[in-house]
Amino acid sequence: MTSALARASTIDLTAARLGPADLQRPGRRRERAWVRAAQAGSHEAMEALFKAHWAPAHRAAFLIVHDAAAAEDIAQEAFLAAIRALDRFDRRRPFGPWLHRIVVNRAIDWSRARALRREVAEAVESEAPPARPAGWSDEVVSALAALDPEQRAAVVLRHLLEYTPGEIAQLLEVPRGTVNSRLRRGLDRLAAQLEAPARPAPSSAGEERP
Amino acid sequence: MSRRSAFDDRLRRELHAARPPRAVDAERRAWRVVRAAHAARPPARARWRGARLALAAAGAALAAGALALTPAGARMGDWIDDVVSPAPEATRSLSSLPAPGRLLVVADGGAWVFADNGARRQLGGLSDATWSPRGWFVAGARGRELVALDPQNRERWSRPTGARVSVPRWSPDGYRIAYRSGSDLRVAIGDNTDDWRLARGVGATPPAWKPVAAPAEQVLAFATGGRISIVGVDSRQVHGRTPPGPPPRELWWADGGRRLVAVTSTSVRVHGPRGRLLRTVRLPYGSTAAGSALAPDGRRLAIVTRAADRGSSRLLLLRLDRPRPPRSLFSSRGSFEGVAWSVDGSLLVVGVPRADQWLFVRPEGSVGLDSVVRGIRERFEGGREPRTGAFPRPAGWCDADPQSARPRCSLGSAP
Repeated sequence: MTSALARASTIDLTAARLGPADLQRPGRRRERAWVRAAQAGSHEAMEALFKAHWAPAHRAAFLIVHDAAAAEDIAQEAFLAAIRALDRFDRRRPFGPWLHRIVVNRAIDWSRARALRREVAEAVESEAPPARPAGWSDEVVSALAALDPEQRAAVVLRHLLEYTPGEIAQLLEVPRGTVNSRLRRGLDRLAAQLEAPARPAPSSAGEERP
Repeated sequence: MSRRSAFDDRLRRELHAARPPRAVDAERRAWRVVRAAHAARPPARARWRGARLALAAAGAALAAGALALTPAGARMGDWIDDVVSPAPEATRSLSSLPAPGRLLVVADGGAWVFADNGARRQLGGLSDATWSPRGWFVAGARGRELVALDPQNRERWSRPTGARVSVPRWSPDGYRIAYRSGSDLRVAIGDNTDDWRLARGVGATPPAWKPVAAPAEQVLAFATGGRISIVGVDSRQVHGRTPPGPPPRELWWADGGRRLVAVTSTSVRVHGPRGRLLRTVRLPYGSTAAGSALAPDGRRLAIVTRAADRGSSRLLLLRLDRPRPPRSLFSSRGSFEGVAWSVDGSLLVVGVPRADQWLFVRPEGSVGLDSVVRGIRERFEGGREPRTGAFPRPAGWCDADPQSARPRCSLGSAP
C-alpha cells in the first residue's frame, strides 16, 4: 500500500483511481517550494498552500463535526497553527498530513465536547439543528452523523483524504488495530443504513395512503 | 467487483463530491485571516538571526551529544527530525478561551462572564462593568444605578444616583468603588454603607486607582480637562497634579504605582507618582489611540491605534521600563475595538467589529496571531441587526478560581 508521500508524487499515474481532492493535491516538489517561499514571507506562496489544502481540510472537518461554523473555525485554526510553526517546519515532510492531523484531532475533540454539553445542558437549551448541507447526498451525511466521532474520523481519513490504515494510526496516535476496527465498524454501520431498502415516497402532495 | 469494494467506491465518490454549506464564503473569510496572520509574522531577517543562534546552540549540543552518547552518529537523523518538525498544536475547544481565566465582557445588551471552558453567564442590563480586585464580584452601571453582583448574577446591592452611572472602578483593597454619575466623580464603600462626591466636572476618562495595599489610604487619579489629579479618596488630600496636556483617553498606574501613564489620542505620557512629566511617546504619525490596556506585570502597555486615512488598525506594545518606541504586534484593515490582557500576560484579545471576531495575539516570543474566535455578536448580543451598537468589549480578565491564594485580574480598555 502506498504512503501519502509516494501517492502524492505519483499522482498522474493514479489519477484515474483517485477523486477530485487528490487531483488538486500539489506535487511534492512544488509544495516544498511553496513552503520555502512562504517561510521567506511570500504571500503568493502562502496563498498557493492555502488554496491547495483548504478545501480538503474544511470538507474533512465538516464531515466529522457536521456543523458549518465549527468546521470553518477548525480548518482556519489549523492553518493558523501551521503559520505559527512555519519557521520550524521540516520541508522534507509533506504539509497535508500534518495539517490533517490537527484538523481531525480538533474535530474529534469538538464532537466529543458537543456530546458532553448536550448531556449536561439538554434540559435547558436546545441546540439549533445542524445546517442542511447543500449538494451532498443527504443519505451519506445522515448516515455519517450517526457514527461515533472516532469512526467518522477514520472513515473520512480513509475515504476522503485517502490515507492508509497505517498512516491513520500514526495521525491519530492509536494502534493500527484500533483504526481497522473503527473503520470496519463504521463502514458496516454506514452500509447497513445506506443499502437498506428505501422507503417509498408519497406519490403526490396531499394524497393520503391507507 | 465485490459488494464491499463497490460500496467503498460509492462512498469515496460521495465524499469527494461534498461541499460544506457556504464553502466559498468560508474560504474567503479564512483566507483573509490566514493572510493577515502570515503578514504579521516578524521579518525574515529577524527570524533568521534567531534561527542562526538556535542552530549554533543546537549544533554544539548535537556535536557534544554525538561525541558523548552515540557511536558513529547512530539514530542522529531521528533526533534531528524530532527537534525541527513542528508537532500539531494541543487541541482545545473553539468555544473556550485560549488562556485560563474568566473574561468579563460588556456588550450592547448587558455584561457577561465568559469562562475558559466556554460557560457564560449574563449579568443583566449593565452598560458598563468591572471586576473587583480578586474577581469575587462585579460592579456595574445600570442606568442611574451603581450595582454590585457576584459572577452568578446574584445582585448584592444597588445604589441609585442622580445621573447616569459610568466607568465604575474597584479599588485595589476591595473597599471602595469609584464611578462617574453624570460629570461627578463619586466613591462608594464596597458594602454600600456610604458614598460621597470626590470631584465635579470630570471627563469621561475612567479613573485609575493607584495600587496601594490596605490599610494605607486608597489613591485615585482622574482627569479634569487636560490635567490629571492624584487624590487620597478618604482624606481628599491632593497628592499631585500633572502639567496641562492633551486630555487623556485612559489612565494607568504602572510599575507598582511608581508611574502614572496617560494615553492621549496621539501620544502616551508617562508621569511620576506626583504628576511630573517624565516621558512622552508619540504614536505613529497619522494614527490615533482607540484603546489601551496595561499588562498584569505593570510594565507593558498594549495600545490599539487607528489610521483614519488608510482605514486600518494596529495593535502596539509599549515597554514602559525601556526607552524604546512602541512595537507593532498586529495590523489589519478595519477598526479594532477593545483590548485586554490575559491574567498570565501571555495573550492579548482585541475585537474586530467588521469581521465580528476577537483576535488573540501573542505579544512576546513568537509574536503574532494566536487564534481567532468568530461570531462574537451572536455569542453576546444574539446576532442582532443592524450592527450599530458597540462591539462586545473584553472589560477584564480574572483568574479562573476566585478562591485561589492570590487571584489576579487585569482591566480591559475603556469604551
